[in-house]
Amino acid sequence: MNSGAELSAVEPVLEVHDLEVRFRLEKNWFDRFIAGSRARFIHAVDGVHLRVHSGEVVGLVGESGSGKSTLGMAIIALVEIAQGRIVFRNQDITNLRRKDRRGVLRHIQMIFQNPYSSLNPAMRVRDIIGRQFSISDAALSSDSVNERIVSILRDVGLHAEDAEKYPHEFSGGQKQRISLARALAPNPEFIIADEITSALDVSIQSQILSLLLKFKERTNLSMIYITHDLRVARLITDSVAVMYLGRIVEYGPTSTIFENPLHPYTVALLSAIPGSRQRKPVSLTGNIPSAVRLPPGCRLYGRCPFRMDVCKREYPTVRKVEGRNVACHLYNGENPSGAEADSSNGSDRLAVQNVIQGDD
Amino acid sequence: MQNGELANSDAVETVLEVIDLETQFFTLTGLIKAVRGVTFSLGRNEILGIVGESGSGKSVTCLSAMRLVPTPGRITGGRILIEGRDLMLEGEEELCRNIRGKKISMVFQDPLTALNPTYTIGWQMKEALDLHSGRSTRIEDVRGDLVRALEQMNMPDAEDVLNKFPHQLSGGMRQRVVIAIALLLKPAILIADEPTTALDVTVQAAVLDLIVKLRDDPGMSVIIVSHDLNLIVERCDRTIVMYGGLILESASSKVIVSHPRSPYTRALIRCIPPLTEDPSGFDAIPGDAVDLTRPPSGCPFHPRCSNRGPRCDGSVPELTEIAAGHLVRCFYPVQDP
Repeated sequence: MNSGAELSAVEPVLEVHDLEVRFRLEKNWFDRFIAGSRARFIHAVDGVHLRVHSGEVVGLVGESGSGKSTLGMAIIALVEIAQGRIVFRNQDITNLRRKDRRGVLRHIQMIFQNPYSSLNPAMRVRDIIGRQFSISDAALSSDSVNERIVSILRDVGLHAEDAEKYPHEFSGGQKQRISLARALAPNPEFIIADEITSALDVSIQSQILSLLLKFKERTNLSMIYITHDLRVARLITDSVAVMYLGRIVEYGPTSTIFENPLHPYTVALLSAIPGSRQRKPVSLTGNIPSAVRLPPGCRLYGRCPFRMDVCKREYPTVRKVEGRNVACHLYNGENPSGAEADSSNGSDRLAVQNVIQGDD
Repeated sequence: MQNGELANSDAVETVLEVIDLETQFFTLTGLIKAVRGVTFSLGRNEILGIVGESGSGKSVTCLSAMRLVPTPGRITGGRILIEGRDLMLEGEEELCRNIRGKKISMVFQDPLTALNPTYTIGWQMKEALDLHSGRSTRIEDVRGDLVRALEQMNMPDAEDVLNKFPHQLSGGMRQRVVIAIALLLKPAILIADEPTTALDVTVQAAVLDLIVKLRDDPGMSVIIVSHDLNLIVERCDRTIVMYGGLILESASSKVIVSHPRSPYTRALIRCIPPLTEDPSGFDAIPGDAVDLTRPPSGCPFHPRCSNRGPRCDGSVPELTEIAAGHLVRCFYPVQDP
């Protein structure tokens, strides 16, 4: 049932190692000159490990400013990576040259949040989707390209005659279907979906979600699904990584985390969903702090109701607790629940998933 | 029908009554009937929720209740009574000076656009007081009141905040400022239109709690408008479900979730992803959102409705009371929820 667990013995499709993305605050040369060596950076993504297996849907959840979108963009080289490695099908794609990048990235497609700005208004749907084939399969005849465009449009719930229309002739939900069709056209192995239903009405969102569920059942597509909506994450994903200020604070199978969240931030997120029934709700005080001057300790320190002295001093190491990875001092040292406390750095997801398989 | 609306709040005094409200937009592409005969009432200290998707008319209903419909829109029919006074009979001058802000206040979705970026928070709060009193005060004269207003919204360092500019505050703080301004003149009614949609989920909960608390503390009536059904039923006494400019169902929030009778309400509940292991309760609503320039004949939801029958495209069903305080507009209401 949990495809991630079933496939745990297989090599992961995508691996992210210790990824770091920084944005320099001083944008122009003048500011840079003034700042000199005391340049200021926003640490958007800071030491993130992630593994996605074949057919697995991994959710990145968190509030705005948590770095979830930046992580998605870093994978397909839309932002510069400061440190770390990205391995796709056993190939290091971190610093590929432009020429080589295109060959790899056709297998990784991204869908963006806003369908109004991510589709070229001057292109017909046929060209928006057909362009993908000219990149990926230049040898295809125009007849077979047409055939594939029509079959992809049908797959996403549109009609053959829609190919001749322009994006403005469609509603928001239909535009998002076109984005989906464009992403699926080159038969990618991997899709990064960044808040693809956030701009849509609930009824339209439900259509896109059920479409995704259908694709998930039928194909072996792996996906990173970025969302701030935990209900959507619960429905779509197999495992979920909760991010806060550039770091993953809890990472494990979706059902494990939703049934029994451990990190105070995860519990707070779940408690805040309207209509949720958390056994021990947690509410955070204050606001997400600035990502420019980050404190050395736990990033949740100022807002966490369970904060201890140690939290201010050092960032907690990632530990395996009850079938998921969690970075919190509450679960360091003697493990309160008696689950196996592994002394390794916890980035090894295989072991975690084996544990879960045992639980099932 | 009137009795049904009031049944829940039997002896409770009614502060706002909207009767047969019709608001239309006269656009170049044609007439848009945004609100098509909406009737509801709001009791003192009641929290009423209005839920609907975009184009449902929920926001225009609220703007109409303030008589703030932007051009090319116009209220073309109906009455709006605030504490018995008919707003349709008042002049703009009177509305500005003595009704908006004093009797009824509104908070919008985006707190950044609601605040002027070139003035301090303190100045903008003082301005709200000045406009209604017709006097010109200095911030120092009213500092105590302003600080108290901010502290009521759980604002940390309220004194400091008065000297700050909007961009120096976070989204949640800005929304608290906007609500504080809306409450400065102690209105009887607060309308919050998607007050937390622009905010992060952990901040959203805190702001909503503050809004709900207004019922007890200054003793206000509140209308919360949202697209999120769960958010509404969790915080509101009564819920109105709107679609295509019409009220399709109205009942106490408990009844709305446990025994929805309108097929649209039921579909709306089912298309929210459940938080359980089993996703079988999840079901999409087919079709496109209603196009208000060319609304379907009859019930606006019928092209997407799973319960539709032969009468649905003929005429719009009446809003009828099928149980005490439970109004449904449907020819074929859901029988066994």
